[in-house]
Amino acid sequence: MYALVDCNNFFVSCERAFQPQLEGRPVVVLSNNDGCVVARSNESKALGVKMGVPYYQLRENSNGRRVEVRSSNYTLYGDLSRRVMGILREACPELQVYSIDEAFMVLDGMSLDQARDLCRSLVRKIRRWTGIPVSIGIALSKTLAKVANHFAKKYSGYRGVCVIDTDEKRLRQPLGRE
Amino acid sequence: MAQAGIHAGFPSPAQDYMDGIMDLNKELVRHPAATFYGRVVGDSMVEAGVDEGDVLVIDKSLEPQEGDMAVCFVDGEFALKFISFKDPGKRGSDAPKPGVSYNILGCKDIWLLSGNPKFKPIHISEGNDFTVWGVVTYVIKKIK
Repeated sequence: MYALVDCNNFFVSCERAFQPQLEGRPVVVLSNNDGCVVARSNESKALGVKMGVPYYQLRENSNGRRVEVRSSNYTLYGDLSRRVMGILREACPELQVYSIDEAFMVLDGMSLDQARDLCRSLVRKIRRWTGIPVSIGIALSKTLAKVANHFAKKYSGYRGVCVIDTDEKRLRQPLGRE
Repeated sequence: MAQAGIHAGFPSPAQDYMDGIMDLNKELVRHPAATFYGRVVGDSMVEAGVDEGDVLVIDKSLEPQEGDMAVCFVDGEFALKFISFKDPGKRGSDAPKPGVSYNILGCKDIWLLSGNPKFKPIHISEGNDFTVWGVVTYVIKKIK
């Protein structure tokens, strides 16, 4: 069984961890030299800010001017990533770190319900200990875990953790179709 | 760590190797993933012995308890305060004792006390914009 843990809007979340006044507001983080947008909060996405849009275009757009802008701080992001991965590795020694904000946990010897409970407590622990919100998708394959993670991130009813254990759940809400 | 503290004489050169050299990270940090450092700005804690420029060791994993020094986020700003669940205006109430832990969300009334008499206690209730960012576990002071 696999659990894919993915930090929500990671660079933005890192900025918010030390600037809580940014919670709930449209925020973007820019690439090196303030070139283009490399991270958006959900509020920025709702305003129509696209990933990768050059900063000068954001400034020229009236919606873009309502957005809080931050330059990137990779030292901070690397540090917070290490902390999140450290918390995950303590719960799952066979952690497979996939990127700066994603990792697969290999969870064997427990039921899906136990896995869900473990992951719910990890979501709370990571949020409390580092300030970073994460989403976790659980399934029997890495691919399905990634799908489950997408649902967990998108629908707040999952409270951060989505389990795909039946074909019905797998087929629901096809990504990018219909 | 020198055995039995530092007395005025010259300790044995072998003492460093008796039980390992003291590592401040191990000594001061209980939960590495949740521990951050901050530098004190301002004089809101001078009477508590915490001065501008001191380094704070802040643990975000700890549940705030009565009397804890905490980095708080109040009304859009960080502030260093003592947490209390007792109304400082009332005396001798059946209020919680120091060291008793309360779930911040479950406790409706919180007072933020300063370590400087020029700052009045701040009363926090459900309507306020307030979080405890982390609990201070150590203060590191530069002497020289």
